[in-house]
Amino acid sequence: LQGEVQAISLGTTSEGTYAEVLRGETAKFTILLWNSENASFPVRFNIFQIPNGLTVIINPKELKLNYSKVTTFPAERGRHYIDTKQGLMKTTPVDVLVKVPNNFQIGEYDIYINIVAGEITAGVSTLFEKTLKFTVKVISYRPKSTTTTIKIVEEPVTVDKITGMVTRTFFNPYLIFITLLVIVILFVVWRIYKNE
Amino acid sequence: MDVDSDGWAEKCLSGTWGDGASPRYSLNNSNVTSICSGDAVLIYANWTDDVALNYSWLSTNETGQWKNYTANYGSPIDINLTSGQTWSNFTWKNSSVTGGTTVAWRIYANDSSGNENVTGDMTFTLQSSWLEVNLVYPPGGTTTDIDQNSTFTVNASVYCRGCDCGNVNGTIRYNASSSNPDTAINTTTGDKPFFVQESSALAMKQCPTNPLSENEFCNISWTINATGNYINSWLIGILFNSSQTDVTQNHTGNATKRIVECLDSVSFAWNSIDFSTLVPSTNYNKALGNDNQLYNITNLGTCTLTVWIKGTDLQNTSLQYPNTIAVGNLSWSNTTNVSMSSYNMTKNYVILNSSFTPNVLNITTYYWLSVPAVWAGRYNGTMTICTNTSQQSGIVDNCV
Repeated sequence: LQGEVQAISLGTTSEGTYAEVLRGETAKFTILLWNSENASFPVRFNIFQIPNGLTVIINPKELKLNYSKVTTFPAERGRHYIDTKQGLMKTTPVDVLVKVPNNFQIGEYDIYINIVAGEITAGVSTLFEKTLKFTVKVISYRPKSTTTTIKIVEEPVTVDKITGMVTRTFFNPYLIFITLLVIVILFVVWRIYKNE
Repeated sequence: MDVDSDGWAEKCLSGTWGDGASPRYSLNNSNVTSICSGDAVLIYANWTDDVALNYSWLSTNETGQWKNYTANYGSPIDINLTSGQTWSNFTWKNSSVTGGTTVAWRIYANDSSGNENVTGDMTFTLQSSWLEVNLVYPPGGTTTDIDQNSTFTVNASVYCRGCDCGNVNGTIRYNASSSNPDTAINTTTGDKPFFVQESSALAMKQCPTNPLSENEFCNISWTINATGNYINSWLIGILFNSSQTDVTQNHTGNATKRIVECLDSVSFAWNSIDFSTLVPSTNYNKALGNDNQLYNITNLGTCTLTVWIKGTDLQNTSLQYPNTIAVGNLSWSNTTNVSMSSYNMTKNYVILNSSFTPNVLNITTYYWLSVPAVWAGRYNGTMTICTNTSQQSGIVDNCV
C-alpha cells in the first residue's frame, strides 16, 4: 500500500538581489519563504557557489516551514506578506550575509544559494529545489552626499567691438548724508569755539 | 403710626431704606460640565432677597467676550420672590460653538429696588469628536507583494469617538510625491501605479452608515489594480475626513505594496515514491501512486516555470555487491501512465516541463522502477525536482 505522503508547497522571493558593499563590510539579503499547504516541511539552505574570499552566512541554515496563511488579524508589523490566490501568506525570512574582506578586489560577484525542501526518508525520497542568485558589487568608497555642481558660464568679451567705455562710481546716498551731517556739525562746533 | 418729633413716620423710613442689600445667590451650577456640540446645558442659581426679586439674566463667554442675553437661552426671566419663585434656570444650547471650546457663564439678578448681584464665573466644555481609524487590509506596517496587473482589496475602518462626527468619508491614497501617502489613487483605468477597479470607481467614499454618531463605526473597501512597474514599492493608506469642521481628519497607518512581475510558488503532492516490494530482474514496476495520479505538481504562483528532474542511484550499503540500482532504472513520464513513453532518470537535471504556466491546473507525473539482479533489501535513493523562472530576478535560469 502507498504510505502516507506529505504535500510540499514552497513559495520563494527575496527582498532585493543586488547590493553595493564597501570592502570590509557586509551585505545583507533576505530570502522570503511561504507555505500554502496546511502541512509543515523542512527547508535547508546550501551555499552553492561563492567567489573565493567571500564569506557567506545563512541564518537560519535550516528550518521547518509551517503553513503561512494568515487567518487571524492583526498581522505582525514589519512582516512581509504575499497576496496570493490562496490568500494572504506571511513569509518566513532567511538572512543571507555576505562578508567582504578588507583587501577584496573591486567588482561584481554572484552568490548562488540552493533551497532544498523536503527530507530524505526510506524509498525514493523526493526533494524540491530552487536556486537563488545574489549579486554584490564591491566598491572602495561610497559618496556621503550628493554634490551640486554650479557651472558658471561667462559671456566672452569681444574686445574688438568696444568702442568706448563709460565708468560710473556708485555712491550710497545715506553715506553721503551722514558725511555731510558730520561736516556741518564739526563746522558749527568750530564756529562756536572760535566765537568764544 | 408712630410719629416722632420731626413728623416722619418710622414705617415710612424703614420702607424706603430697608432693601439696601443685593440679592443673594446659592447653588449656582450646571447639570453637566462637559457636553457635545449641539447638546443643551441647564444652568441655574437660587436667589433670595430681603424684599422682592425682580429679574435674572444669563451672561456667557463663548468667543472671548462676555455677553448678556436678553432674548436667548430663556434669559432674562422674571423671578418674583413674592410669588415663590427663587430659581433662575436657563437652558444653554448653541450648535455653532464647536468642540474643544470652554464656555464660561454667570447669572445676574436684581431686586425691585434695583440692587444687582452676580454669581461667580463657572464653565462647561464642549468635547471634541475624533476619528479612530485602522487600516485592516493590507495590515498597516506590513509589506505585501502583489502581481503586476492584478487586483487587491484595501479595507479600512473608522470609529467616531467623543461626540457625533457628522458625515465621514475615506480617501485611498499612495505616496506619489513624498515619503507618505499624499495623492488619491486615480480612478482612470490603466493609470499607474494603481487605479480603483470598480464599476463606479471612487477614491473618496462616504461611510455607508453616515452620519456617524458617537462610537458608531463604518468600514470602507476598495478594489485596486496594481499597474505599476516591478519591482517597485508604494505606501498605501486611508485619509478619513468629517463634514464637521471641529472633527480633525485622521490617516490610517500605511501598508507597503511591492509590485512584482510574478509570484513563484509550487506545490508538490508527494514527498516520496513507494514501489512496495519488487522482485529482482523485473522491469517497469509502476509506483503505487501512478494509478491514482498522485504525483502532481501544481503551479500556485503566477510565474511561468521551467521544471527539471534528476535522481540518484538507489542503494543499500549494508548489503554486499551488487547493492545498487542505477539511476537509469528509474523512469518517469509527464504525460501518461504508460511506461513505454517514459524517460530514464539521469543524475543531471533534464527538463520535465519547459513552460509550466499558472493557468495549467497541474502536471501529473508517473514513475517506474526496473529492478536488476541485486540482493534483496531496502534500497533508498533521492529524486529532485527543481523549478525556475526567468520572470523573477534572483532566480537562476536553469537548475544545476
